[in-house]
Amino acid sequence: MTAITNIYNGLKGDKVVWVIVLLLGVCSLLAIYSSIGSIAYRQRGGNTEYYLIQQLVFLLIGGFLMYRCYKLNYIYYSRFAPILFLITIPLLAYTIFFGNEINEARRWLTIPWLDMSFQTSDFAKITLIIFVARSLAKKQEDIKDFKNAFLPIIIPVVVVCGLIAPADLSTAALLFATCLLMMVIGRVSIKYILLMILLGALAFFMIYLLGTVFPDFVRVETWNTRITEFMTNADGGWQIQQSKIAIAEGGIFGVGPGNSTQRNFLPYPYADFIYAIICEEYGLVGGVVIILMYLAILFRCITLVTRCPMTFGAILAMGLCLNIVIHAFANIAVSVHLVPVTGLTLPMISMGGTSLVFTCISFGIILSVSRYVEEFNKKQKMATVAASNESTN
Amino acid sequence: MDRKNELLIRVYLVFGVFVLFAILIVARVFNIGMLEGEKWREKGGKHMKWVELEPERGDVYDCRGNLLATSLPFFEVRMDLLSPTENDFNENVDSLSICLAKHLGKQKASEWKSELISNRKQGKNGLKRGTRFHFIAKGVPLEKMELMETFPLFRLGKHKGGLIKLRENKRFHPYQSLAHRTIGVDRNNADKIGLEASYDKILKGDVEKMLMEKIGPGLWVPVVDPSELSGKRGGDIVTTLNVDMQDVVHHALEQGLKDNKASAGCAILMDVRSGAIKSMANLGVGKDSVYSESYNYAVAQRTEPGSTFKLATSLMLLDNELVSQNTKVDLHGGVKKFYDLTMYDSNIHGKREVDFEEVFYNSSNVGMGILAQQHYGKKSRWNNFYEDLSELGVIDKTEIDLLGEPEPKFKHPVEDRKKWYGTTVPWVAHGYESMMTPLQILNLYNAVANDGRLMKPYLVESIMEGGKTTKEFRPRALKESIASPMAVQQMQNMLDLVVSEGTGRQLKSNIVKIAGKTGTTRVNYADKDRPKEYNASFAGYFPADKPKYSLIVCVYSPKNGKYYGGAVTGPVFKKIAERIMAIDQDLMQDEQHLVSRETIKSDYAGYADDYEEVFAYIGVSPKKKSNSRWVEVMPDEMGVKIDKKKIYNKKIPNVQGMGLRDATYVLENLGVKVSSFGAGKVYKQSLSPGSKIEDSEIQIYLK
Repeated sequence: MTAITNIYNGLKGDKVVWVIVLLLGVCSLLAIYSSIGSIAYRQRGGNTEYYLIQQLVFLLIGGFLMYRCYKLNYIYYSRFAPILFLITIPLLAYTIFFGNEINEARRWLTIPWLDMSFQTSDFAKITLIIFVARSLAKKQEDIKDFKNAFLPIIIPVVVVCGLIAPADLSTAALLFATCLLMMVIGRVSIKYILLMILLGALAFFMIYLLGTVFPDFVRVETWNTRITEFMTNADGGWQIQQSKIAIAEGGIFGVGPGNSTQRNFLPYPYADFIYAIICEEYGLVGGVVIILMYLAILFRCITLVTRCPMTFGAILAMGLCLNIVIHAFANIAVSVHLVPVTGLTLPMISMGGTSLVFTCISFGIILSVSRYVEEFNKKQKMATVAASNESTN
Repeated sequence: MDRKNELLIRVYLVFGVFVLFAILIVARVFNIGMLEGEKWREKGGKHMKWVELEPERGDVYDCRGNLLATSLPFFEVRMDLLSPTENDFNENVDSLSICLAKHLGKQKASEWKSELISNRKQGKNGLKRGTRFHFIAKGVPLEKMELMETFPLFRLGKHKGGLIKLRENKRFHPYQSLAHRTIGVDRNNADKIGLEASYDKILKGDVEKMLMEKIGPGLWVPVVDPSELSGKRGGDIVTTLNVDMQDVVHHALEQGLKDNKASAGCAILMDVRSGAIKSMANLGVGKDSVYSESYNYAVAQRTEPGSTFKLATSLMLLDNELVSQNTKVDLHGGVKKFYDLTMYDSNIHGKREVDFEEVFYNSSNVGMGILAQQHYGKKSRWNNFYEDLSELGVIDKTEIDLLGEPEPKFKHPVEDRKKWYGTTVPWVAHGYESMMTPLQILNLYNAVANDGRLMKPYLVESIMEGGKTTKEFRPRALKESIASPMAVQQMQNMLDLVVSEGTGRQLKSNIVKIAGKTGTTRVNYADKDRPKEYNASFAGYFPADKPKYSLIVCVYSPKNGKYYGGAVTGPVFKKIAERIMAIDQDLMQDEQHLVSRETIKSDYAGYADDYEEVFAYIGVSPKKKSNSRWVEVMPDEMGVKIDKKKIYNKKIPNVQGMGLRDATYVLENLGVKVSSFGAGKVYKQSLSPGSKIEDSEIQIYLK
């Protein structure tokens, strides 16, 4: 017990965030162990432990990287932002043409030597957010200006989102939204932001048109069927109905850990529909707790922004956190049939190797920022105390 | 507005949006779980079911690689009408319809076209379910399926073309009725039987479960694409059966049953040293006096064994040195009263003092009864009687690897004390008041032939997966020795005497020396009103001096005047023994005097001209049934018959019986790489006949 207390006291940065990340990891293991029955039977002869251990390994790798990122002074991220961003663009372009095709979408690249594939968009998300945070912080003085501030910020956003969109529209849209929200917080003029929303809609329309001409690059058909289904079928498609059944089975307190039956019927119960499984096993209570955890993290990041306004760190933390929470809510919204089906995962909880690792990295950066903000506030306090001491003398 | 305030307003605005969205989600969860909860819970589970998708079932082979049972695939064809793109669909729908109309013929091309188009449209608009699983055709054989895969649209592959194949297997038995009941039946609506049942787990392979959803009354569609499910093909089993021997046994038995107008019969041929069942025939009479394999009498039919059981009694007496071959026995003229029951010999012969061996070879009930009563009749000896029987292994099952073998039924002197009478010992001694199956009796005779070593009979030699042997079953002894070598030796002598001097004189053959024992059992002795009914049997082995095979022939309820074991089953036994001698390669070398047609074994195959030349040279004129270039040569009722050797494109042929040159020629012409071992004729090949040729390499073994 003392060891744990020591670790807890030894860790700097926002304790609430630390605890919630840990809790999300535990939830992930529980939910995955419950939901992998069918995939384990299909691919590993019933060896459910295989996937549990795999997830645990990824969590440990993620945890390690999170710790490294937390230890690194976040100022470095600002310094590396341009270089990282320059790597991102060709990487995304390469993926569009030569990426590994999984489920008819080219989103993946194989890391040579490691023989692991990762979604380039996961990497692009972080670099873009760092880049936008840096620009917002640097241009605070004339932030309302169109040419000097708005354009240099928005162009990279459009480019990156445009490169992700063909194969993964939902991720691109969420990243775009994240960046717009960062700009809202970064005091960019609201009228430009409204303009961007309009332009975003237009861009989507353009991509849609492009898709009808080059169906190999854009999955227009998939979008069509999903949106039509959402609009026309009040009960939802087959998957959604299964998800609703799971939620209904759960009731208020759930059927208990490991007792899910819908895991056998839901497609990807360990990824896209993991929230439904959580609701089935832990009920409305479990579902609310998950949502509260994401909201709590967001709230902690907001206090960073208010304590340390307009700094690179605060905007960066906010951006990363927004992206995670938007992803989480979008995933949950699919499960409860608030939006059409997308292939999004629930950050930190869904099974999924490399994207989990990138989520951990995001948390690491957030924690790094919070650590420095804490120290900064302490120093300031000490300085004011010293100053007041001086003045009384 | 200063910066700080502007920022705070904006930040809390953003946070507010998220809180709002969170509330929306929770409300939704509440709505689904509570307000609509009943509806969704109702929907859950009810409209789903798991269906087993069986992969290709394994084959059953005889010991020489002949196919006894195999599965031919048939397909149910369906189409995912929504998966092809608009372009692909529109471009191909005309030509696809034409192909469907031409090769399936169900309806005209125009009708196919409108069916496909309208269903796709309805499915796209969400008006009709099941268009992702639209029915096209059923019972499509493999060749046609392969053709259909080349149809326009379908040829784009399963994702772009929408073709869905559902495999269903039909079982075929190339040798039809031969050993049918032993091989068994694989059926879904009733229990499987025979080897198909006993080895079901292996043959079946890894069953994949497919989740089906109900979309209408009686209409189920798979939830995931069934072609993505891939169960593992079942393993093949190689049996100990020999089709050629089975053929001999089957037809000899059938003839015997016909001649005697019997209700049923069975015959089992077993390899003495190993206990391997070489053939097992079971015939029962059906409509129009036609005999067919319908019930496994050999393994499952328990009857009072009758005189064949005297072997057990004699062996007990000899083993305990209570008698010797020449011990004198008083037969009381053929009638003897034991307590309230009178025992009769088959005829009132009037004999008094005879040797023990004569008691046996003339099958005297009285003699056997007296000896048993004398040595085991006292109450204090009853336990010994049971224990000595148990020593012979007759109390226990044979443990054959076929489901449905019953325990032999013997009274226990303590447990069945109430049913144990003073007459029990003498009656059990000559084969009554107890029950055994033909196989259980045969196994005892086999042990005598095998110098006292009691084997476990078995039907499956090995299991193969993907052409490789993954498991081999070795012969196993149930008892290393059931009696002293002396006793077994004397028993063997006495079994010889049955044929040379006694009730089995009809089995004297100048081709093969047979040893064995007749059995005739009254079936309905309790029922005095009905006409007498018998079961006739003969159990034994051959060649008597160097036993290779043991054999039992049972004929139930013969109705043509004859009913003694020697007269009814003797000729069948003899016929089988003689023909098996002709077939068996190893025995041939000892029996050089057999001529022409007997020397032709069934498994010769090769180039037709070569065989004609050979036959011309030795002066035999075979019955020629085909002008094919490649032929099989086999014995025929009248002599030798030449028939076409079937060789198909792209399928591994059966090259067994061919010489190295012929086999290599045939195989390499089909594009198969050949490596060979040994010299002589091919007796084994590594790829099973009928399997597909694709970059195949084959090993052939010659001897």
